[in-house]
Amino acid sequence: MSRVFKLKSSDNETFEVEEAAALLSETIKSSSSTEITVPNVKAEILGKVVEWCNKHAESEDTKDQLIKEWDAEFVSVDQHVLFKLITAADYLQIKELVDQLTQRVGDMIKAKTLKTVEMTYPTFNVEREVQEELKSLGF
Amino acid sequence: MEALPEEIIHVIFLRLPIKSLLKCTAVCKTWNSIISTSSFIDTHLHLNCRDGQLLLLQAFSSPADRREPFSLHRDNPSFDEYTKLRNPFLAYDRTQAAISKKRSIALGSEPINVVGTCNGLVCLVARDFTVLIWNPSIRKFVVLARPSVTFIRDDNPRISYAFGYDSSTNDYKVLRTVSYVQGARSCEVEIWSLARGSWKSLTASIVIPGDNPCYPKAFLHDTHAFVNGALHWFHHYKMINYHDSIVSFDISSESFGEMTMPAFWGNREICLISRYRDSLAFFEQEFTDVFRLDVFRLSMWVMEEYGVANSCTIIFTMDFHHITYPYPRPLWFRNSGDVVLECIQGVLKSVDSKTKSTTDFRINGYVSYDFMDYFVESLVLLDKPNAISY
Repeated sequence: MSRVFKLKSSDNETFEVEEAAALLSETIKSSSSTEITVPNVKAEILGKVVEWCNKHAESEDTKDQLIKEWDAEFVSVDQHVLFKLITAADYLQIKELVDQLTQRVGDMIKAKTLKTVEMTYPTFNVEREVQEELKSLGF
Repeated sequence: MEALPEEIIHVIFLRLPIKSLLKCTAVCKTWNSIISTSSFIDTHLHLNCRDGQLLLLQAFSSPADRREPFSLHRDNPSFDEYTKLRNPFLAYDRTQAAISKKRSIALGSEPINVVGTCNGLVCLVARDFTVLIWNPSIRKFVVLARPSVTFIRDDNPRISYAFGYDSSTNDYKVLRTVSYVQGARSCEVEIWSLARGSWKSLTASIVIPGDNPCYPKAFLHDTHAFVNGALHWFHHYKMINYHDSIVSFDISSESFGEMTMPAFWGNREICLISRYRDSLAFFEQEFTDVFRLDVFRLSMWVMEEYGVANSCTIIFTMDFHHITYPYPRPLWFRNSGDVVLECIQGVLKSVDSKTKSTTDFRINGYVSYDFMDYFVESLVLLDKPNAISY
């Protein structure tokens, strides 16, 4: 009989999560209670994190092509959502989710920086445009 | 908009290639301070260095190209050029011209000796013994101060350099030896470290065991190998009989040692000592027919067990017939175990040490090779304020 965990968002919405999915989070694993409030994370974001956990709990082989495609879709979100997801996944200490999300951010940075690389004599003067674009990634 | 915690930014940056990271250092102070620290540089190097992907070449296709001989190539069947590298001595000449009004040698036009490469750094020596530690991936270099050891050219000094990495202190060191062919004066040794930024004499610490002639003869040849955290030179000398030993220098403890080769080693002519995977390798050359100089034999030996002189095994022998000077020269070891020899007119010969089959090839139309070895891109020197950018 697996336990059910209750995750509460900062805007007071509660998500019920099965044990297998919940224990993907190190924070929940080391928590004494089955009711956890996640501060600073709104329902919209927490819901997505729960969705990811449910998907990964039910699928036994994470190297499976289908789940890889699902994961790729999952991280293809707007920058703002991406950062909020990272914050939530980081708080909940879900390592694999943090890895996937940070990989996505890295790919976005790479895409913005490499397009202006000159192959012969690379310059170090960051064009204003690239600088603005990188800043717009929200840092 | 919430900002991401610095640890997360750190994690993201660790996955980025050098080119992206360099652009990121110019975005804002926070990003620059995350990337330009020795701990980040070190972690990034160890996470991302997949050895065996890039090759550093010092080669040219015509004498006019000697000014820009450096390039990086991919280690794939066609050795595609990854990028051409600017000769850092050209930038060095410019900084020198800015400093002093009197004309100095334009080192950019002179031959350059590549001492070695490690963790993305390349140690270069110019004709006037100016030494640079160069990171071509981030276009920075450090100029070593003038050493304190002086010499008189009439005494026939032989100056040799070696470059190594001290993993215990995460430091890069350059060893410089001044030895004399006639042995009239004793050998002088000094060491430079990137962390200290200065030379330190080690002459007092060269222990001369027993009655052996001094080490100087080991340093008469530039050829050296960096294996197991130590530099190694082949020492061949005659004292009644011929003796062979390997002089070693532990880069961390900065102490010399000696491995005596077994008697059967005899009077072999070792033309090169090198690193082969994680072992010491030697190339022996001989003219098998004393009356002819066109039958040339090249043999490769590997010390299977480090420190055990008896464990030297012959890996292959190759005979060359009807050849003329310059003789085939071992240039590079591939990760596959193949040996690449430089033959006449820039033809490279790859020898499979097991099957002995050979393949001839060329890279990019080069006709002459001075240096060829694996290279990894890194950010080392990015955090050094005295490193010069160009």
